[in-house]
Amino acid sequence: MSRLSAGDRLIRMLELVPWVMSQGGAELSEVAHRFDYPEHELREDLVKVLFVVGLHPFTPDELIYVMGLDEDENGDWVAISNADYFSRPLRLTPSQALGLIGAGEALLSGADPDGPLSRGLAKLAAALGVSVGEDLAVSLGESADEWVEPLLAATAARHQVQIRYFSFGRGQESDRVIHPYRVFSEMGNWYVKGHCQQAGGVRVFRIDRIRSLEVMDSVFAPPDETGAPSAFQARDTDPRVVLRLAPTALWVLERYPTEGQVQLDSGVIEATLPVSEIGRLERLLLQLGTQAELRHTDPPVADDQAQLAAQRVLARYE
Amino acid sequence: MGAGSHRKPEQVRLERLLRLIAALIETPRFLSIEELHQRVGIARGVDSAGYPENGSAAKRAFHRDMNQLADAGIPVISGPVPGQERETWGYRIRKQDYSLPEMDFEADELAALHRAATAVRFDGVSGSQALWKLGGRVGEGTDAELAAVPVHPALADLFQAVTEQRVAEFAYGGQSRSVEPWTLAFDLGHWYMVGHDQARNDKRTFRVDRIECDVTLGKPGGFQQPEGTAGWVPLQPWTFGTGPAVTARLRVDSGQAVWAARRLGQEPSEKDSDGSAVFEMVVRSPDAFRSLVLEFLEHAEVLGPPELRSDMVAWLEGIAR
Repeated sequence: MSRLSAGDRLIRMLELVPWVMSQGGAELSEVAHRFDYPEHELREDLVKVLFVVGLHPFTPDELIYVMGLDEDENGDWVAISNADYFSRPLRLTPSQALGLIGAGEALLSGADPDGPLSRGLAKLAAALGVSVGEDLAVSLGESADEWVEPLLAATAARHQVQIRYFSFGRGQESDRVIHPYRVFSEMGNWYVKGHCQQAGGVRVFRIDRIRSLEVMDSVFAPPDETGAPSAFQARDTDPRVVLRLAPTALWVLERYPTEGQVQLDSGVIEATLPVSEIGRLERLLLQLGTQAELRHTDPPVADDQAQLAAQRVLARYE
Repeated sequence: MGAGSHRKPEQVRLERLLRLIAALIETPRFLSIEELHQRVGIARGVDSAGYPENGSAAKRAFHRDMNQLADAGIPVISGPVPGQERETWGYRIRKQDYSLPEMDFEADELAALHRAATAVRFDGVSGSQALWKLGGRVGEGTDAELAAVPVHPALADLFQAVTEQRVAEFAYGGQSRSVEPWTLAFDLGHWYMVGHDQARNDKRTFRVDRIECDVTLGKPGGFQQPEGTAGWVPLQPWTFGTGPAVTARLRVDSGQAVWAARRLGQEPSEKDSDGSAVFEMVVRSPDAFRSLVLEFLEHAEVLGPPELRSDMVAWLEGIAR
């Protein structure tokens, strides 16, 4: 293990001293674990450094008392006193407060209102003067909280689940048995990634498109590798399309994964996109209208894909 | 037990930094650099903590230490040293600035916060450091990260502005803005700030990643938030816009009606015997409304008002030609 820098030591020491003082002493190994401080370095720093810290003129009564340890690896319990100036932990920085309250807030919607997360978050927010949900709102996905918890439980216990799933691309529902490998949120939607028996491979499902869900008794073997979760996972067999996008249509590049972009004159960009289902392409082409042009597809789809889709929709308005 | 020998350089430095912090906290007034050198001590030999005897070397070492304290988030403030003939600048730490308020967590509460911090990672923010301040890591956290939340450089400043009611000034859309920030929200993968735009005298929503420079914060308590303005309404782009509000009627086919209700966040106003459903919704942005309707391809139809219906027909005819 690499040695801690002076800065790392400083931060950890300022946090662990108040804790040990508040406990009236603690096992050295527990302090090391809680504050991620290699135990032998912690012993040394307490005995060789903290013990000689104090106030001018550094007479014994002005030094911090470190009791229970010595340099020769004796003692595994430590108490600290005579350090009133280090008796409270350092306040959270704004980004630390944001990160911790935000993480708690994000998981609160599915949590028991009297559970430990709700209680802990309430204490934290009250002490810092933050109104959860008013000052800060973090949403990882709407309207599907009911399935997130059971899917997380099934993932942890490796239970297969049966779902009725609505494929937006195909516009129809189907029953599937999946092995849920991983639950995650991306761009404001919840997803579950797992092996799908019907598809015969690993697929990613949007949790808010699950109509019904049943956790089965049968378990599944853990996958060889789960990889980084990602909502869009193009397969080699997916068709690739090249879209010529007008400057007003460049939001597409932010919303959809692309495999190469070519900048043309006057701010026009040609982007290659994998398209898992023709419905997705049609939807995008209709939304973009004249701001996009379908240049090339591999394998080929109809050149007039957009026109055909527009005519189908127009038929409703006749 | 004693200072011992063979201390590593980082341990000698740690001792000096801890002595410096103790001296800065334990003073009721600003202390000059010379006074701090004296209170921290003069180094005698490589194994002895303190500042060099040489005045300019000591000053350099002192400023390096001050940078280290700033990196650690320690709130050192500066001001004039009292009782000096010549104006002298000094330093101190006020206890109320330094100390975390009392919180008194139960072990299961700390463990739940630990799990949350490992499940939802804010990019570039160490959840562990925050947990150490609350009493160290308890429990095991979780291996399976649920989400990585992007963090923009202005975000922590805006959070401070919201919680302390500070006016925030920044450039946005090529213009400088003074905003009283009410709420910070993460929705559909982006951060937003809702607040009162002082120059426009109206409520505005800003995408935080489109803020064009550093945010400058005013004083705490710089504004009063009106009642009933707090909180975040989930994003529905078709409700944003400068156009007049119209009530649109949208029919969705039976196979997709359930999913439309989820997408729109509302129940239909009518259900027909064929299973199709009619949704009524307020629209201020016809463009965003058209994109929403086209998500359903031929499974949805704009029933009214006539201007939105003819807008859709004209758009589709433009493509179908």
